[in-house]
Amino acid sequence: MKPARLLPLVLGSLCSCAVACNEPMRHTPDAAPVPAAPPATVAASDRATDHFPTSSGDLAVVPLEHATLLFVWRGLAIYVDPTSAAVDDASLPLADLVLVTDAHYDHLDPLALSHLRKPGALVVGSPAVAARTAVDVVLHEGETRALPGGIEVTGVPLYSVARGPGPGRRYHDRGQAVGYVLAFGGTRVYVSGDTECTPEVRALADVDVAFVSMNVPYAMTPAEATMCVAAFRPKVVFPYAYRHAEPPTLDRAALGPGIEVRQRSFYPRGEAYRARAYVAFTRGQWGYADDLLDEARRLDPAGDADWRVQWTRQWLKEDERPWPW
Amino acid sequence: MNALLAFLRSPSPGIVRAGRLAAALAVPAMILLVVSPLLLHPWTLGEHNWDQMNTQREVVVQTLARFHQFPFWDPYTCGGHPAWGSLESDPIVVSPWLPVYLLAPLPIAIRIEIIVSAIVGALGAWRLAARFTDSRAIQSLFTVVTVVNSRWAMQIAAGHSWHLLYGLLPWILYLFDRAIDPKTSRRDTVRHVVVAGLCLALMAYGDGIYPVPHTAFALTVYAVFVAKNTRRILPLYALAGLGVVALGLAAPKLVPLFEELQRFPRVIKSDEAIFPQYIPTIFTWRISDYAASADFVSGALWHEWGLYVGWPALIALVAAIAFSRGERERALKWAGLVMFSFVALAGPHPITPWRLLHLLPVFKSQHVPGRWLYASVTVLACCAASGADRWLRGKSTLRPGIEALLGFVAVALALDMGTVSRDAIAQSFVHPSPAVPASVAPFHMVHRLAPRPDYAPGLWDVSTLPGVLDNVGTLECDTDNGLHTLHRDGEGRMPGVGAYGDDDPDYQGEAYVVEHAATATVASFTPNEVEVRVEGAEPGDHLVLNQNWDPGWTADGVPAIALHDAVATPLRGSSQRVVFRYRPPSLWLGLVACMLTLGAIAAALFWTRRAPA
Repeated sequence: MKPARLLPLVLGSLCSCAVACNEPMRHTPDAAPVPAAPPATVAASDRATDHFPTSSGDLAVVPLEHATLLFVWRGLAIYVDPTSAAVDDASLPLADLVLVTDAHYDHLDPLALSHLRKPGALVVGSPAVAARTAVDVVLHEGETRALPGGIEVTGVPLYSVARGPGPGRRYHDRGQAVGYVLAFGGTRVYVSGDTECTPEVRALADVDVAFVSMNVPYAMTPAEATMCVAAFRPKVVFPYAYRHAEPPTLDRAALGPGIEVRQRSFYPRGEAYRARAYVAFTRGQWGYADDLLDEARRLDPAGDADWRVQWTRQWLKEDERPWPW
Repeated sequence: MNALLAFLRSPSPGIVRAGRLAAALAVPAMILLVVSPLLLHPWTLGEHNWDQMNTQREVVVQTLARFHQFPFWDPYTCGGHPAWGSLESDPIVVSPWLPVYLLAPLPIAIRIEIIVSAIVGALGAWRLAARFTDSRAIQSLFTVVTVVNSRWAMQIAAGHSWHLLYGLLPWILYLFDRAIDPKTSRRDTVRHVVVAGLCLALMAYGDGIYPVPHTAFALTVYAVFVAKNTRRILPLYALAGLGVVALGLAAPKLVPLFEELQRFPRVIKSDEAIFPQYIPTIFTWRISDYAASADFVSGALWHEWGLYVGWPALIALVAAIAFSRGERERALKWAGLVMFSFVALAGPHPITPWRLLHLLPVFKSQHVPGRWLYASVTVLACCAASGADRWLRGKSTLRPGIEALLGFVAVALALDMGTVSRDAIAQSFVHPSPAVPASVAPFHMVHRLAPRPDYAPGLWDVSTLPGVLDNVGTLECDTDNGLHTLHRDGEGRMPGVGAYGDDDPDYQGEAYVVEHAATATVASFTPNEVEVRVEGAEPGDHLVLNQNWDPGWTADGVPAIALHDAVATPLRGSSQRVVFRYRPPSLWLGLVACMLTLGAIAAALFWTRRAPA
């Protein structure tokens, strides 16, 4: 072969190199991102959807995902039922206090606890949680403890009255799991966990803010939750863990005046996955886009009603036809 | 210039000897360099997909050593699934590595598998190169470029242990090339075909989900083009014979596997791509970070694209390929270029070579077109070896000097490429191995394993290895073992998963009665056989074993039924002892096919022994 014949190859390669050498290569860590943001930054961000005044400053509420909540109060980050899917996020703060209601996997995630804990952080858990992982404070139902930072926590019975996986069994046996009433400088916040509407929940008093789980069939249905909330009458109520609840909210008319229902998105990652799916779609990664939409549907089934999802799905279906058409 | 020419024309005997020695030492030096992190830190495990790969191996070891059973069923991952009839399980059962894993601790056994596979690949590459050149320097260059390159190292770093099976690829190409050589006797043709088929069957037994189809594709294109170019039918006969031998010998694994695939078709979308103007970067970016990514490659990390050889070697390779001539070379060029087109012209558009191939049944189950790179480079490098040999023959007076020089070039290239490969291995193998407990508690299933202080690697996968060691099953898994791991319902559960973890609200025990509050106790548990005692049930109630259902499960010899995807059976009385047992339903068919193949091989060898050459 004459050397001249190699000239186009060499020139072409050099041109490609000139283009390619400007492209940055980045490392994708194998490990999950670790929370690292200051609590105050998160409290001041759009992620904090609600703020409640307390006698010791503002209480910021950050709904994360499913049963995972974050409160920021007096510079402290307080997590409830953190799971890896919700808290493996560098824009969240490390925890000063973690409360775990229940030993089931959508409430207790030892991996998430190990990621979240900073030195000196306190983990509070029910007896069932303590049986599965190391906790600093085991809180039984009806018990009240004063925690560092001026927070007072009371264990509220959490159990199943009627429902269970089989005959003679209940999803939650009494005495194993607890809900929490947290007192932030006089403002009382109730986090129900996956309880049914028990007499103890109905008898709660002076609750300012309530988070009521509608994690059917393990917790209350929307109708039961409405009835229960109407009994203990918090000033503000947030339905949460409502993945399979239909409708995913409370009946405002049945609650009557004096109880404000605040509906917040507890499945925000669905939207994030949809946004990534659109980007992937426009780049021609149709298979990847389809996978992302599947994941978005898993996290937030209601999101499939979005016209962009329907349009993208339609297009992807066209693409999946056997070739040639 | 004149001095150089003078040197090349008549190099001193010492230089010639040193050049030969350099050519011979380049490959072992490179292998030693690349695997040195494994030798310096012999007790570490890799990250990314290595937990999954380690788990597959440990399931085999524990089932054989702890329960003295053949690993038909894996109760430890995904809620239980067929191990034998799976694409990604039991990789060491029919394999030379089995005694190694049974005798040595896991980290040591992995190192032996990796290092010996590299050596086997290097020996095969050396022999394959010898089919196209008699120059030791070119053989050395061929082996340096094709064996433990950065592609190999990054795949191993990423835990794609099936990549080790590519070590058999050069042997299969070598044996097939010898088998179709007109100078080979009929008996040797049969022998080479049988051994090549055996190698391909070993790839199948080793879960060579990519090496097997890639090798089969390369052989098919090669055989078809050689037959067309030479107008001989032998390559097609040899191809058919090789296919029959491989399929027949691997039938005990393949038949249950295909049966399982019918239940859970493995269809994976694949639109990963590299922008075409960046194709040279595949070979020229000196990047060993297996977890690196860039915007010009989409859908996969750098370990699925990169194969560093450097600009000089790339230009020399392309020139040598262009310079090669001959019928075999033309066929290999076609095979290599078609395979490389899957890498280079993959991606988003539905009418690209890869996307079209991906419509076919076997290839529909594959993704990441960059995985064709290793095989395509090996095939094209054969042409390069032939082209370089042709060029060298044209320099008859300068040949001794050039050969000596190429020996030193091989060493330089080995050190340059080996350094990149070594860094990838060093990056991954950094995590301690979990401790093996002295005794284990009765088996139970959890949704996800809790983290342990002695095993916290930065894994891509969820952790499953400690569960196998501790006799604990996990629902969470990232294996594609036949279950639709990419498809999850709202609870994150996979279709086909009927087991529950004991941290799941629906968990009722490792065995339970559905209709009444009866007592069901696991009396004895082994992976393939579970004995359950029931008290207080009513006839007609259903007893459920907390494992995923599969057609191979029986209860007291009667096929078990699927109850919400779990293994179940109706009860006959209030107090009863039920033995659940698992066997792959179509195993006997595979064994019969294997026996027939062995008989056919014996007959063919006997017949060719008596037949004239």
